[in-house]
Amino acid sequence: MSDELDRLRRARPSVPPPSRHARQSAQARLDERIAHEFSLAPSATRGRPGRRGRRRGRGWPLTPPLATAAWAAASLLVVAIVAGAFLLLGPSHQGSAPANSTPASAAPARGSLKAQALELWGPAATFYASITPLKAKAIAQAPKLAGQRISACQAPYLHHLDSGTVTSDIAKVNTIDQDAEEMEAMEAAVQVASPQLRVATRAWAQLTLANPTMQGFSRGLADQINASLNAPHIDACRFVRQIVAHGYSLAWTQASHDGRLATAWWATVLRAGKRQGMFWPWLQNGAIGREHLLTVEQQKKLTAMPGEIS
Amino acid sequence: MDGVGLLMPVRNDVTDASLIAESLSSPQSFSAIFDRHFAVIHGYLARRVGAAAADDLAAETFVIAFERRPTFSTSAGSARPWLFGIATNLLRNQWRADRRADLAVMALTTTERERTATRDSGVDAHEVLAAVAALDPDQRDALLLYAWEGLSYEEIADALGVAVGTVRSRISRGRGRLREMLEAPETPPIIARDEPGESS
Repeated sequence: MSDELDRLRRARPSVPPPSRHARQSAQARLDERIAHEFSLAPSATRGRPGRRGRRRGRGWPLTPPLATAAWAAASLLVVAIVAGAFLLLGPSHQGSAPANSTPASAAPARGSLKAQALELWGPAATFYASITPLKAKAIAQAPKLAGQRISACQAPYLHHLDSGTVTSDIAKVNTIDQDAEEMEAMEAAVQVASPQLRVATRAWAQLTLANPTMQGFSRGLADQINASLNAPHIDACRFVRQIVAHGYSLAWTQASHDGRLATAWWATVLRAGKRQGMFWPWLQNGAIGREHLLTVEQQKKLTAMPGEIS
Repeated sequence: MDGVGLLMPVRNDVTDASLIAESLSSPQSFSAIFDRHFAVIHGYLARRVGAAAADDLAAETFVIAFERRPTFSTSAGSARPWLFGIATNLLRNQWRADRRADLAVMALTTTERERTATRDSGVDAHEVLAAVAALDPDQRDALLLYAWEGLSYEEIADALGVAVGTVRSRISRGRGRLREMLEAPETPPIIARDEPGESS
């Protein structure tokens, strides 16, 4: 039987690939947007850059001199524009409502999605209100400094760790080693503000929301941060030296104390990530305006909690 | 190396999720997502609104994706359903913004489609596409992502931000409606239905 689905499939229009001009034009628009962000927020609130991927053979983003110059020019341009806007508008126009406050509209109805979203945001608001700018800077710096330190002590061994195919033993050793490095960096991030983070994770763990997507996210977020808050300290530099001393043995790496610790930590983090599940797509991609449940600033801050690997 | 940006080496061994996570601290990493998916997203949009409008919408899709990348769920793996979702929302927003233009585009592109599809497959594309245009927008989005773009129910659910059961229901209802229209003696007019809740 030739059904309607079959007819629909056969009616699928053949379209030509995008023209070179369309592709270049789109790439230019994206590059412009990337350059803007690059110049305004080079470090953002994230931890260190893509360490996990680097060791799997990705390499750091390569920036040829020409591109470096382009970035620099774009940076200067954007800084000039921002400075100009500041002078024109003056301080009275700067910043609307603080990020940790709710919009100025009337309080949402009890039990509504909006009310639940604000409950979900609550612990983050408390957290960000409780840390000083100095501490915020320290939180941002901690994983980067840890990452730099670990990268330096692992550098002599990276070539060998990176040498295997995905299914090889050395690649599996490499993965466990990365888990250890990631774990130490996350521990460094959460240590800076551990009392404040414990308050936040306790609140999220106890939150009861009717909406299952938000509820799952709340629990998952608490679990993920707690994984680093409650983990025993790991020393990634010591671990890699031990791996080398044992001839990069997969059996030894898997059975070692630090290896088991790092593997368990990563599994917990992943499990917590799954509990967060569909929250962001649900919030962002719905056709019914759910993205307005949280402000952009709130969303950004929710994805940038120390210890969070979103 | 065609299509690979100046800034990035080819990185076929890295998942979309890893690239997007990395782009949070190294924004230029997002260029690899563009390289991987631009042609597919452009093709989807071109089938929906024609090549000319697709150029702009596809570019906009990736700018929005870049801005929203902190919210991408890294457990998702591939970014393709997420990008389809953004592109679909853009289609909706454009149609809401200018319904008259929508009707014109719809009629124009249907003519293009009719010509192409008829030549390619010999089926009565005009009749099928006219019926598709008359579907409820929710059903149309789900059905086209399934039948034309080859997304699974789960991927469509990711893309549209709805439950898998909802996708199943939309596709099933859309197919039913399509069958009714295709079996009806008269071809429906080539007019896209209004968005739900929108006054005509």
